Amino acid sequence: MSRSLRTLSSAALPARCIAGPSRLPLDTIRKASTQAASNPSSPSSSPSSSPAALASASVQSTASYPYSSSIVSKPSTLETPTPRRNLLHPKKGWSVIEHLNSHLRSQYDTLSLSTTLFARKSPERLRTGSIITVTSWTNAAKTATTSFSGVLIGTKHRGIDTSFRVRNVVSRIGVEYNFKCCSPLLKEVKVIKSAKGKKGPGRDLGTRKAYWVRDRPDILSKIAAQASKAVKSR
Amino acid sequence: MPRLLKAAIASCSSSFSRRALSSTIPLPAQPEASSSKLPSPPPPTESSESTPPARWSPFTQRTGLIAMKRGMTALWDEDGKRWPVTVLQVDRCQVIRHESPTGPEGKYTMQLGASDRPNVRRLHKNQINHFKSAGVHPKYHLKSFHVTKDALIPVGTEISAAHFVPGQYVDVIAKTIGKGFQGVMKRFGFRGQPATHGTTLSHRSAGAMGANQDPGRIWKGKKMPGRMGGKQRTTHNLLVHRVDKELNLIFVRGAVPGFDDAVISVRDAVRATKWKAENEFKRGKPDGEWLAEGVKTLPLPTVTVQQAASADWPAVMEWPGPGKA
Repeated sequence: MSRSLRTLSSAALPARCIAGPSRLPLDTIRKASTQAASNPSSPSSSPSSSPAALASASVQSTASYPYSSSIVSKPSTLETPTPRRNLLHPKKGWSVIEHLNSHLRSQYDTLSLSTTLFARKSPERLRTGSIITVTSWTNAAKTATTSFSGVLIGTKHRGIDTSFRVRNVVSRIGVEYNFKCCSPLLKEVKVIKSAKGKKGPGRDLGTRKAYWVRDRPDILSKIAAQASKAVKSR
Repeated sequence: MPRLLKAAIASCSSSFSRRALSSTIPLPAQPEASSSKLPSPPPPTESSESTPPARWSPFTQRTGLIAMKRGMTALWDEDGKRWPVTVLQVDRCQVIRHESPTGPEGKYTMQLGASDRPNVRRLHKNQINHFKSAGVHPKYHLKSFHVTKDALIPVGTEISAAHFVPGQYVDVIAKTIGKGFQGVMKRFGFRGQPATHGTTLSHRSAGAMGANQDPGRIWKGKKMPGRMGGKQRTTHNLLVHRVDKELNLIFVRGAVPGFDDAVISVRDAVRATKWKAENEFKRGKPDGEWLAEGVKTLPLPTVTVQQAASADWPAVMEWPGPGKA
């Protein structure tokens, strides 16, 4: 029974139907795509965010792609190689997501926040209790910014969705803000005071997630005062 | 185990290795003439290049695709807005069979197969012959799609993820995650009974089952505990955010039924693509304006893997957002 299948002669079949799991090796795909895709856009460029770059990318892609007039070309994911090589038909599909996330992080995380300040094990990672100021753009054209200062009460590591939570008391109202490290609207994260020690307003809060701070207004009022003082002095 | 079979397996073992992506694919051992009792399959016909390809119309029904749900991730568009996306991978989706329409107004039925089986020794002979007559390697998954005549694809053709255009809407059909035997609160969202104030042993129960002597029975279809999930469901009108022709990936906005690595059936959205285009056509819009979001037309009959590899398109194409044509 099995022999009858293996007796299929290769001459009768196209290359893709040869008995055995058919595949185009990734090397061939890479070569074909680099030859065929005549986009002069640099491979390692981050997704164009400025209107001029966006327009140029759209125009280049529109000329070659006949099915849509609004297409943006993105860099190939194969330029960020990952240890897992079977990406075309993996045994566990999550390896494709891991490959994509590592590529997308290199594209989106221009400030390298998820690898330095908000990494799991980096020596320069921020501890809860650090006072930071986050500046973010308010519009896609990146003309206006807004700032939010406060104490870091937690970092959630989710690959490309890595985010951190900042809390402050603004006009006697507790406000928490959840920022995504890879968001293109994130401009800058300035560390006013890195959490250190066991006492004082700039102390390390001791836990990776310091949500208990919500029930301790005395801690927050001191931190808020220090944050506003530091922001005003800059 | 027969000696010849053993030799054949040994020679083909590297082609079935799960991690190998070597550039040389070893061919199976060539048979003796007497061992092949069945006729060799006809070579798959390539699409003729002399006739111009047909143009998609709102009354054309294209084929769908079989894809695997790989997981979810997030993408940010040109406005800095975050979109959670589901990643669907098209894994060696080939055309297996055509069936003629049953009635005069009927459509052709095209059977697609996806995901090659590495071990074919346990397949029934009729299953092996089914794939042999198509000239493809035996597949794990088979699905049928109704298509119009101009959307027929030659048997054996491998379809690429570039079959879908970034910016178009798709319907995604899959089996939902099975939840097992569940009570009415989880299954139908019943509110249950109070936790305190004397409630006895009925905190999560359904309560009353019906009326009194009239009708004196329980209506059919009464919501009761039972098996939840594991049913085929369609999620309509998901936008295709990005298409990666190298890894054969389709990124759709939103969530899709099923667990990771589940089998998904993707087709052009019936409402947001087909009916919308029909309405625009009836309103007198010209070709190129039937579809929304900057999509001019859809590839007909499809985009094969060879066409996608040789085409002068970007490796990864993304829809930037509304109003960016």
